[in-house]
Amino acid sequence: MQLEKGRISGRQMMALIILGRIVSIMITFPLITGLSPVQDAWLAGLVSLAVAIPFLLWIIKLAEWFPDKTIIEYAIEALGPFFGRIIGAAVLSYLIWDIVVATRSIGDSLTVAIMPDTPILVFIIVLLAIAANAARCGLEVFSRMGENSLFVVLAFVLLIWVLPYEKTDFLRLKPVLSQGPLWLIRPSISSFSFYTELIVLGLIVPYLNKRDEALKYSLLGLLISGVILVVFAILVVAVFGPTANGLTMPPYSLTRMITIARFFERVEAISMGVWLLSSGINLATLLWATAIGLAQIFNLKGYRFLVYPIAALAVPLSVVAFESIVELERFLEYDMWGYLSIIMVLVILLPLTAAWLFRRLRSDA
Amino acid sequence: MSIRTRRLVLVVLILMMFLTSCWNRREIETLGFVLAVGVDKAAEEGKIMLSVQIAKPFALAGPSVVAERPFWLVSSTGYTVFEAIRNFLSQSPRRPFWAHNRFILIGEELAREGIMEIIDLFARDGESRRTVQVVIVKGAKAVDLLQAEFELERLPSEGAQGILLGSLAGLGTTVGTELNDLLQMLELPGMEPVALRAEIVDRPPDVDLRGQSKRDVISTSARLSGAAVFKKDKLVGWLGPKQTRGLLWIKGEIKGTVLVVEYPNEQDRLITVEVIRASSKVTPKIIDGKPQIKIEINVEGNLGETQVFFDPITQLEKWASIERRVAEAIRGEVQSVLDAAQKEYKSDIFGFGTSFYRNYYKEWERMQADWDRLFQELAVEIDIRTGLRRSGLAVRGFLDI
Amino acid sequence: MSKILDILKNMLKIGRRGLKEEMEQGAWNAPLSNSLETNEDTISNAFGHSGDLVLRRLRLGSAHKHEILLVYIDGLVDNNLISTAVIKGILSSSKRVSLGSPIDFLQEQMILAGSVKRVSDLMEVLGGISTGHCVVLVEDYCEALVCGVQGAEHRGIQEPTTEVVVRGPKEGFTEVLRINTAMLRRKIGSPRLWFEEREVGTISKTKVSIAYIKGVASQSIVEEVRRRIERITTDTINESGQLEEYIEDAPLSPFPTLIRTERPDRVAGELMEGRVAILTNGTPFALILPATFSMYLTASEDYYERYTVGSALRFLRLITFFLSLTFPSIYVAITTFHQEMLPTSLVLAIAAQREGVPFPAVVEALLMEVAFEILREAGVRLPMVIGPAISIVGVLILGQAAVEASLVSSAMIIVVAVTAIASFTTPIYSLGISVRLLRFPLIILASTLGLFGVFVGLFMLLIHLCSLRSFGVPYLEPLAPVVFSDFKDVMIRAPWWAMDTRPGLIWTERPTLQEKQLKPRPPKAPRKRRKGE
Repeated sequence: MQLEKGRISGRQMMALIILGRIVSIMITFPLITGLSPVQDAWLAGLVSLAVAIPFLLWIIKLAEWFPDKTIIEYAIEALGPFFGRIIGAAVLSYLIWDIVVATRSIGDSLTVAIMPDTPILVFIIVLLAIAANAARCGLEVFSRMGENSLFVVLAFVLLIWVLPYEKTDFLRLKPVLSQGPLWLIRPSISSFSFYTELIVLGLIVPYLNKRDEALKYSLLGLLISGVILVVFAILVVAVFGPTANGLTMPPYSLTRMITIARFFERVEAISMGVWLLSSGINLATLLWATAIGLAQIFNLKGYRFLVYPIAALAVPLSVVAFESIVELERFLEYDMWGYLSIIMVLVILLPLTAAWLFRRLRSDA
Repeated sequence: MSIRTRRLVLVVLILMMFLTSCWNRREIETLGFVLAVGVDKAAEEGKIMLSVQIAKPFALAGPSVVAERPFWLVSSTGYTVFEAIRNFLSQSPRRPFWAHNRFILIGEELAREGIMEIIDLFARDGESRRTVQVVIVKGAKAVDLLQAEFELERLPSEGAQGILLGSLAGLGTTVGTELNDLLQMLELPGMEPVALRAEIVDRPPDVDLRGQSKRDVISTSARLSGAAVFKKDKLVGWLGPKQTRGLLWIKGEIKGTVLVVEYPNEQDRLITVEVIRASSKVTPKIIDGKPQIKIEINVEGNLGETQVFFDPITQLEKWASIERRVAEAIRGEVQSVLDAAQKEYKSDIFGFGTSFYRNYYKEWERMQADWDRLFQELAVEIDIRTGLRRSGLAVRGFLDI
Repeated sequence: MSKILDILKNMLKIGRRGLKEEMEQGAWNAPLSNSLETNEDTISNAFGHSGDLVLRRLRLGSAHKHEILLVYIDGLVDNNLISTAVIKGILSSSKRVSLGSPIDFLQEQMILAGSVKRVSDLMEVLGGISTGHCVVLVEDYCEALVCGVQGAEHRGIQEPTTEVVVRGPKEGFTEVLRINTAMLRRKIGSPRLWFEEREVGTISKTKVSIAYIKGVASQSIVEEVRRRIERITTDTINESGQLEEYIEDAPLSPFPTLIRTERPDRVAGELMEGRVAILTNGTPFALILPATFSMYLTASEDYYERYTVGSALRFLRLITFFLSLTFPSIYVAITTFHQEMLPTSLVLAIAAQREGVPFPAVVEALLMEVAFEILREAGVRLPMVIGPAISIVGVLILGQAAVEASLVSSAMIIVVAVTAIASFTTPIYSLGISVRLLRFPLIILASTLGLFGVFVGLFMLLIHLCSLRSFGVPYLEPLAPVVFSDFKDVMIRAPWWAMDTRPGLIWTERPTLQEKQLKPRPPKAPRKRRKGE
């Protein structure tokens, strides 16, 4: 607890959640890529949202059972120093995976979309540098920034929803459920990874100002990001029809279709600003969480000095992890990330729940 | 780490940016802004010829506006489109910049062989837009059409844009197909693409104007009207202006047009009706296992002009009669395009198949392989409703002679 | 080696701890002596026989028994007061010196000055003389009277030159502390306006006054201010800007965390919101703290005009602030990296303009910005008679000539000019200057990484702003920790009848500003009298 003295409000936590999801949605949108038939993608989004709600409740409940302790701390407390640290290491490795995937996604997107000749290393280094800088300022600072960035980002998202109106044709969303409802299971699983990243909440919730706000605001954040995902899925299909699943970055291509009175065309460079903002804060959150987790596993006094080394580690990892964008896409879309996330999360959460139940039973008896 | 070290890192980062050599920097004067691009078959076997109109900024808005052609027409060849584009660099001091390109012109010869091989680059590349218009050139090569200029606009792409928008809004005999639409029409089950047709007008023989010339003599212009019909990705035929309008009636994309009908009982007196709103509804039906289509078209118009004295207040039945005649005219156009598509070109450009795909998915899976044949025999029921609403500032005609 | 270190350490030690004591050591830590002669010599020597030191001998009373020495500095005292209050008082005493010492007699009955203090320490005597008091010494007594007869020449109350308003009070602070505190008291008539005076600067002994409204300002902030001011051990404080640098929260940040203002109405307004002000003798600029970012973009006029006007102007200022920071860099980024963002005709027009220009857009931008800074600085330093001429020369001729010589493009001149004008709309000058400097790194970032670079720069700025605190208050409050009730004074200016609570809820002790339901309503029509009433 002494590691981070800052406290954030529920609304700021919600901002961090939403910004983190926006990164996944607006940059790569793995839900759609390669999905066939693509017009039912939004239903898959709804299904995974529905499944994600109990998952979120699970995380929050766990946090409530061990109040004021981060997930690492109560892992150690509940399962003993050895197994607890193993679980903690699992959490951390998941977070680092998250960082690598997020960095690589936005790096590739920037390279493809905006500045093709720039080596991706430049983007990765700069991005991680500013995120690390933000993370070192402390939880309060970057969540403050997240709070008011949220406003800008949401305004932009609404703008993107509304402006391509003349290119949309909602008939393209038919036929609905042509393959039958069971077909939805696979894409829902792979898009579930979108929500498992919320395990980072295990490290944020203990630092809330008012503890009872945790459930309300995290649920709100989840729902809002889920809605954004579903609406984007609908809109992308409405504009691009069956070609949507061939796009590398569907929402980006959506912004490219915006023309206002033949004057305001090609405003997608502004969407780059939004990417930068949300992924900067998302990476800051993940870096901060990893640093705190690491410090807690090794019982260190402070966490600030860990941030830059973790960021430096992430740089080569992002480059090496995926050889090409095709690998990245396959990883994200074709279940690997989905299954990996689910397994990791179960590995982390089940023992903790079991330990807690065990304790309860023992103390009751 | 203290604040000092943080600042140091910041400074180092900034310096790092100095040391790099800004890969993507392009000074604006080093770019050749492409206004329109044309794709043709090259003289050599297996190669394509790409021609671009590159804008000359100083001829447009520089300190001294010169009366010369504001663009430069240059061609290059290659086995694929991307290769041809890169080959431009051996001829043009400025690299072609595609972000402001508005039109892709495809020559008839190349279109008949299939456009699939050439449109991939334009869809995939980040510089080009997906909102470019695709135009097929009838009876000529695309490069010839690129010499066309229009009065009232310095840049021919602006001129063509103006014509396209104007005729979409007021004439209804053109089809606007953006690259995005084209790609979807190619991929959608049960739909064949159509694209805009362009023809060269007034081209004096044997004059090649790729060099400089004074602008007060425009020797080549273009007419944009009608449509090109494809089957899969190969051009199979053309639709005339009235047939194109029929296509638009079916698709419900008419934004405004004008219909001339005969005044009842007087053969050579004509009434002009201005159509202000039209919508259509295509309903697929399966009757006895056979597919059928019902098209309902709703049209609203105003009485625009009469050549004969006509007082609708006392002659209300004439008003209704005119409405009927308008419906007849529309039906004629619709039938003509249906015949052309079903009998002559055998290509489902209306998307009837798609409406089955969307609404009767199970049946569509059965019908899909055989749709070619089924489409030709498709029974189409046309139901047209017209409403004549207003008559301008006058209720009756002016001269009762 | 260790000897060198010892020397270094000694040097540092003197620098840090000993200055105050060192200055006050020496011959001046002595008490007064009995003999007038000695005292006179001591005082003269202390002042180095300065020409403006006046020593006047008098005799007290009609009995002419006691010798009096008057010491004062000519120019610092009000000559009228000296003659009427002190000298006349001393000379006209016809009574005999009654019981008690002549000092008591003088203090209680004879000297007609306002404040008379009795001291016995030489340091205090010298201090009193240097601050415009008149010192009365009596033979055979080692005590002196320090009488307050200050009245130096000073600038009268004029309109403030740096913050001009169209509607509002037109008086500004002057260089004399007492006049400034009086102006504040005139605006705030409550006895709860407290001034805590301190002396800062071991040689300059500048009087500094911490002003706050007891019960409204937060005690912890006042405490903090006190602590920081008392910590200063420098030789001299000339201007409040110096003071600001010693007590501010983030000395390395380009953003100022205190507000400097010349207007008493602004200070009074901020005091009423619960902030603390510091007035410094010798400068008309007062410091206000804690400062939040939104305060830098508000002018006092926003509060005096109607709220719609105030809100619109605030919004405009926000936009122009952003513009002055980013416009050149966005222009460079777009024309160099992202030409696709411009509409076709615009991009061709810009391309045409840049045809003959030899420099890349970045160099052009930097050149023009530097040129403009030079022009601006020259305009400030020039004597007023040549000022207008230079501005005409600079703008018209140089700019036009540069374009025609194809050294710069017209678009760039427009960009630079708009940026410059936008930067002058910032009401608080200190923010405008810092922002001007921040423009340059942003331009460089834009030239290397395009809009990505600009956004990266803005991101870092934003993080920095989010991490700044001014005396404990987050700098971007109420935007950063979002406090909805404070929104009414940031982007918009809510009508006065709607501002129920003080903005700045998180630090004041007295949240309610006024009662609710103060919205003016037209009076109800009088009830019609019914029969029989």
